[in-house]
Formats: sequence, C-alpha cells, structure tokens
Amino acid sequence: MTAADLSRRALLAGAGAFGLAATLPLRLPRALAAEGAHTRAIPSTGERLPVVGLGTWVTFNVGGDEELRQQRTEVLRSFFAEGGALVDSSPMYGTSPEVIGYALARIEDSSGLFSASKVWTPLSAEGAAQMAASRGKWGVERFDLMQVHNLVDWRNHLATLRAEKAAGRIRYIGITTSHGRRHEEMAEIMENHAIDFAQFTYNILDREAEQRLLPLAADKGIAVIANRPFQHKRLIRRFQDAPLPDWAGEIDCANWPQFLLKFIVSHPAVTCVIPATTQVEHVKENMGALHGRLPDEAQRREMIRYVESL
Amino acid sequence: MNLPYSAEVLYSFLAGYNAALWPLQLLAYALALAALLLAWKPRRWSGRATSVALAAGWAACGFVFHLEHFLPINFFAGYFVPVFLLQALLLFWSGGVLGRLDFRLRRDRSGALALALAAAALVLVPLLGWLGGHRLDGAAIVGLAPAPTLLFTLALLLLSETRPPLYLLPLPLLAAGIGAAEAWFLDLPWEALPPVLALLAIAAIQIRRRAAPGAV
Repeated sequence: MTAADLSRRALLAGAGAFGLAATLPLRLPRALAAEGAHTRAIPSTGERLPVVGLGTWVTFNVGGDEELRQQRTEVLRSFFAEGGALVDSSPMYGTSPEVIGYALARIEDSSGLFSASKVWTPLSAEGAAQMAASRGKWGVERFDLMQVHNLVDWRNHLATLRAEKAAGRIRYIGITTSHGRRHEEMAEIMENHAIDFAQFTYNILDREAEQRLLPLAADKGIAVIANRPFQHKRLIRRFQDAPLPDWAGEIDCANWPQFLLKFIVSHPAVTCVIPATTQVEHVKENMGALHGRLPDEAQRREMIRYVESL
Repeated sequence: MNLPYSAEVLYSFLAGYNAALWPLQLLAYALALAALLLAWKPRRWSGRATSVALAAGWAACGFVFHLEHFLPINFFAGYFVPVFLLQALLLFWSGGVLGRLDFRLRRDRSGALALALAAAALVLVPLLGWLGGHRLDGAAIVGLAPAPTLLFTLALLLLSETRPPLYLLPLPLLAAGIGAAEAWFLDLPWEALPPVLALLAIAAIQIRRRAAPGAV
C-alpha cells in the first residue's frame, strides 16, 4: 500500500463520513483497496491505476445477441470484482462500446471504472460528435481517457481533445498505435505535445518499444497502456503446452497469462496492460498478475530467454 | 491482422439477420429455383428476368447485408458495399437492359458443373457453419448473403449461351477473395469452400468464354 493510496482512502473515508463521497470528482478504483494489488501512478496527476485493465477489441463486439451480451456482462463484473478499473474500447470496435454500456447498466457497482475510449474518424470535424456518441453508448457523462486511435488525423483530433478536456468531458488525453506501427511518429508526438497517455504494443516477444517509446514515456511523464499482450491469443496458444519455468513461483506466476502479463507490467514505464477475453475464468487468471512479486531486471531477461527457447 | 469479430459472433449475426428478414428467405429460394427452371426451359424473356433477379440479390447483399446489418459489427463491410452494388449494376445492365445473358441448362460438363455449383449455393453453403459445429439458424441464404449469392451467380453465368461479358467476372473474383480472407482470419476452414468453388467456376466460365459464340 502506497502513501498515495492511503491518502486517497483517508480522503474518501472522510468525505463519506460527511456524506460527500458522491460529489468527489475522482472515483476510487476498488483495486486500490485490494491488499497488495499492483498499481501505477499516472504521471500527469499521480492518480493510481491497477496495472491490469481490460481490452475489448473483438471480444465485446457481439452485436445484439442477448446471450453473448450477458456473458460479456459477467466478464466485466468479474473484472471489477477482481480489482480492475481501466476498460479500453473504440468506435472502431463495432458494437463493443454499446455492449460495455449494456454491461455497465447491469453491474451493481461499476464505480471503479476508469473509462478509456478513442476518437477514430478521418474527419476531425466529426470528432466531438463521435465522442458524444461514445458517451451515450457507454452510458457515461465523461470519459476518464480519450485517445486518438492509430494516430488518425492526430493534429486536429488532439486540438479537439484539449477542448473537450477543458470542457470537463475528458480527464486525460492520449494517442494510440498497435502492431509496432508508426513508432517514429508516435515518438515525435510524445516529444513535442502535451499528452497524458500513450498506448502501443508491448509484450514479451514484441519489445521494440523498449528502444525508444518506453524510455521516452518515462522521461516525459506519460502513462503507458500496453496493448496486444498476448498477440491476440497467439502467445497463449504457442506456449500453453509448455511448462512454466521452475522459477515461475519466485515471481508468483501460476499460469502463462500471469507470466506474460507480469513481464509487461514489471517494466517501470508501463502503467497498465489491457488483455481482452470472453471468459470469466480468463479474467481471473489475468487479474492474478495484480498480485504477488514482480520480476526484477535479471528475472525479466531470464523470462525472455526462456520463452525464446521454447 | 484480425477481423473485429469472432466466428461465434459471425454465426450469431447471421442468425439475427435471418430472423430480421424472415420470410424473405422463402422468396429468395423461390426466385433461385425459378431461375434454374427457366434455364431448363428458357423463355424469350427469361435471360432478362434472371439477370434482374441476380442483380437484386447482389444489391441486397450490398445494401441490406453489408450496409444495413453487418456494418455495425464490421467496419470493413463499408468497403464491400460498392463491390456488391457495382456488380448488381453490371448484371442489371448487361443482362436486364442489353439482354446479353441467356441462360440454358446444357447436357455437358459445364452444365453439370453449373448444376453442382447451384446445388452447393442452395444447400451446402447454408449448412457449412452448422457442419463446422456452429448454429444452424446462422445459415447463409442465397440472394441475402454474399457466399451463396456469389456461387449461384457464377453457376448461372456458366450456363450463359453467349459469352458472358468479361466485366462480370472481376467483382465476383474480389468477393471470393473477401470470403477467403474471412475464412482465413476467423480460422474457419469450411468457409473457404465457397471461395474455392467460385475460383473453379470463374476458371470454367473463362474456358467457356473462349469456346462460346457472341464475343463481348
């Protein structure tokens, strides 16, 4: 438990005692109350986030199927129950935003939600309307984080995001890319523009971000969201039949998802990783990475050596 | 690269789509069977009528399937709309307006292949998902969904008495590519059958074009 956690807890407890909890501008992720859960500070404010979030690419895009929507509601409910906070989506993800909204409306307590969406349109004039539509689909009054998806028309969209932030409809702004694309351009934005978050691909096999983006984020005080932690299931399929190394217990990894996620979140510049899943069991496995020991630098190198030997 | 939806969601979507359109499936099958009957016993007007029906099927795949229903799940569907609408226009123009398509069932190898392709479009393709372990109500129906519409169209073009215009072939080839990509990315090997059959059909049509009269 960190000093920041304690101070926020104390603040909330005090505010609750005076009946003021509902008026607080910052919500308190339940993960912060989970003993020993790993959190990281968002550099621009110091607000802490649980290091494991939830992605929704493919997994929450289930259309109008009521049965599948119910299943995804259980996934999200389990995510919150396990101490999760950051849920990431995009208008590009089909019906995912409205399925998130469907689930949030049915989950008794989603107050820990840290909502992260994106603006994804080549027409910057449509940005504000698209963000308003996303708020409607999620059923939220504002987004905690709004990102420019895949750097689409990022100059104009960043201007819109700043205006939305000033208007109180966004708390943080960011940019995203994935699959290792356009890292040079991303670095240029991180170098020269005031953003709170950068999202890009980082996992045990895709480590290009270690060269420039992760050090730059640390240097500039930008929070990092790591996407594609499992290369869209590929890493799990590739390694699942192999045994974990004997020393996996030393970093409290009981399964491959935890092993792969702990590699990512043990990088000091990473704020949060966003695995996606359709199954409650997998949520529980993933959220296990919130707890226990994290690998040190020597152990991280050993983790790489081990998976590359498989 | 990944598609924005899973195989499970694809068949769930098709089930919802079929439910939303019911009972248009009956009309679609009736029109398809009528087209085959007219190829068996052609009338003076049957080439134009069948062409218009095929054009309607492609237009439905563009407007109703891709634009109205699939686009909310799959943003790529927006790119497929013009492919299907343009093919609808070409079929309508060449067959319905210019009368360059006359379909006749022949007792030769290409006639047999055309019948087999039509049977695949009407019977086998709708069952592919179910045979692969998915839900039966997620069947793709001719005239309303791309894969069977593609195969049925190629089956009829194979029955064309005169050379079908070359410009009727590139977009079906592209549609087959789209179907193959979906089968690949969703890891649905059985859904690769319609694109493979479509390639076979296009090759057979091209062979027949060289032998048939009425160069266009």
